[in-house]
Amino acid sequence: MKLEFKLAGAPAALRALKRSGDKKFVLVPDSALLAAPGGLDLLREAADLCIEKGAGLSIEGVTPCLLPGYTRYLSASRRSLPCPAKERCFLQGACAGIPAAHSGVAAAFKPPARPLTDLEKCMLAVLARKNKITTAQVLKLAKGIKICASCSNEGEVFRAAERLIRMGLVAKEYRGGVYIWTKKTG
Amino acid sequence: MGLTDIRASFPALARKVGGKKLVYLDNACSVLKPRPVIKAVNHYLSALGACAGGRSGHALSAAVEELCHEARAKTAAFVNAASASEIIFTSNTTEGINLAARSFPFTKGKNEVVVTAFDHHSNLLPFLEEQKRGNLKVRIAGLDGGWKLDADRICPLINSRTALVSLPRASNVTGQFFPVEEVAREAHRRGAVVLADAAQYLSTSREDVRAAGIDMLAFSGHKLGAPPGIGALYCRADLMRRLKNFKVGGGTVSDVTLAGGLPEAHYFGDCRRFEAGIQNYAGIIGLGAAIDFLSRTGLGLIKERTAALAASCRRRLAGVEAVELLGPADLPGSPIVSFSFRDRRVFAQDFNLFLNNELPGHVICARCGNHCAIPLHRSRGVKQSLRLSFFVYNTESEIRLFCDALEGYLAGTGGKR
Repeated sequence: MKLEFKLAGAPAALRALKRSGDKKFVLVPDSALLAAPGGLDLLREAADLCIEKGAGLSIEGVTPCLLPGYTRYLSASRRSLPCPAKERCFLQGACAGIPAAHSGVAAAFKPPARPLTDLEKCMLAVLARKNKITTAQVLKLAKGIKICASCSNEGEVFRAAERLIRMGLVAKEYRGGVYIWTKKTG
Repeated sequence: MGLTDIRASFPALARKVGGKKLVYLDNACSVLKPRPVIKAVNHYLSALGACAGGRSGHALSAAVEELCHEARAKTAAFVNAASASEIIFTSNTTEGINLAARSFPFTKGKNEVVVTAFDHHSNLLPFLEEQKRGNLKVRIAGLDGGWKLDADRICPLINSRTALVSLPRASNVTGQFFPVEEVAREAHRRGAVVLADAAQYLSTSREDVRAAGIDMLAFSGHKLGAPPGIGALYCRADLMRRLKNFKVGGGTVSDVTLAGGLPEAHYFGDCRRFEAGIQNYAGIIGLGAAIDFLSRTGLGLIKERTAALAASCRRRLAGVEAVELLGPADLPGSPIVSFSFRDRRVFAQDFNLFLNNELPGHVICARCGNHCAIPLHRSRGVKQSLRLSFFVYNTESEIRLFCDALEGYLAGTGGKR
C-alpha cells in the first residue's frame, strides 16, 4: 500500500493504516508535514503502526536527520539537492542530501548534533542544579553527580565545557581571576 | 641542527589557534610530531598499508616487514639492548607495565613488588590489581613525604621475598631522576628484577639498560615524537623466556598441534609471543623514524637545551611568591617544572583556562591537574599542580611569555578569589 501522507489528511491516513491488512507500506509524506510542528511525530506514529504490524515499510523523501532511529526504513530519493549543512552533519555519508521534492522546506532539514558525552551531560546537569557558578563550584557539584566518574582529571570537565560553549549550550566569563559558567536558556 | 631548523621540523608549532600563536609546554604529556615521522607514517598509510611478515608473503607485506624489523633494531640500539628480539612492541608504557605485572613469574616465596610514591598510576595500578588477585604484595617507598627519594629510602624495602622493583626513571610530576643503578645493584643482590618506567626519560636522556642494570624498561613512542598508540617493553632475553603469556593469538605461535584431537599451542620464545594479532605498523615505522630524528638532532643537545630551559623557568618562578615549586631544590637535567598555588583559593584550572583563552596573542598549552599521580599529590598535601615541560623546540621567550601571563593572572585576581 502506497500512502500519500499529507499533513492535512494525517488523522485519516493513520486510521487507514490501522485498518489495513497489507504486508508492505510505502509512506510518502508531503513537504507541509515535514515542516510542520508535530508533523514528524505523526510520521513516526505511522511508521510505528506499520512496524508493529510486522509489515514491510519504506518511507520516501525523508533524510536520517529528520527521523533518527528509522534510517533502515528510509529509501533514497531519486533526486537530491546538496545540503548546505553537510560539513557540520554528524551523519556524514549516510545521507544523499535534501530530497528535491522538498526543496521548498529545505530549512526543516537540520544537521543533527552528535550525542553528548557523559562529561558534557554532567556539566549541563551541574549547571541545571546551580547556574552562574565558578570553576571551583562546578567541580564541587560534579563530584555529587553520578552520570560519569571520569572527572578525577578535572581538566576533562572543562574541555567538555568548552565543547558545550561551541555548541551554544554554555557560556563562560572571565571575571577577576575566576571563570563563571552559565547554562544558556532558550 | 639549529633552533630555527628544529622548530621548522615540527609543523604543529607553526599553526595558529583561533588566530593566536601556539606555545607548547606540555611535552611530558606528548611531544609534537616532526616531519620525518609524519612522512614515514604517511608512506606506510599511502604506499604500503599491508600487514607485515609471517602472515602474507607478498611484496607489500615484505616491505612492511623490513621497515618494522629496522624499527625494532633501532629501538633496541636506542636503549642498548643486546638484541632486537628483546624489544616487545606495545601500545604504550602503560601496556608494557601491565604486561610485566601480569606475566611476571611470581612465586609463593618471592612475590613482593617495590614501587614508589612518585609513580604514575600506570606503574602503580597494575601491581595493585595483581595484589587484589592475591598474586603479589606491593610495598611503596616514599609515601611518608619529602621530595627526595634516594636509594636509602628504596633499598630497605628490598628483601629476599622481593621479586620485582618497579620504579620510574624520572618523575612525571617533578621531573627528578631516580637512582635506578644503585637500586638495581641491591635488587640483583637480593635476586630481584628491575623494571624501569622510562616514559619521562628517553626523550631527553640517553639510556643504556645494560649499564644501568635494568631488566625491563617500558616506554611510549608518542613522547619521542612517534604517533600515539605505539610503545615498547625492553625485556632481557632470559627473563622474557620466563614470562607467562599476556595476550595470545595470531602471530604468537610456531605451531598448533592436535594432541589427542585437541589443539595445543607452541609459542615462540621471543618477542613475537607477546605481539598477538595485527600490529600497529604505522606506529612502529613512525617510532623508528622518531628515534632517527632524536639521534640526528642529538640527545646531548636535547638534554642540554631542555635542562637549561627548565632551570631558567624554575629560577623565574622561584621569585614568584604566590607559587610553590614542587620537587627537590636541586633538579639537575630535569626538563619538567611543576608548581602549585600557595593560596588554596587560587584555582589552578582557572589559570589553565586563562592561558588558553585570555592572552592577547598566544595560547599556552600546559598541564593542570594531578598528572595521574594522585598518591604523590595527596601524600604531599598538594591538590592540583601546573606542569610545564620542555622539549628541544622550546625557547626562552616562551618561558618569559608564560611568566608574564602568570604575573598578569595573579594581578588580575586582585585578591578576591
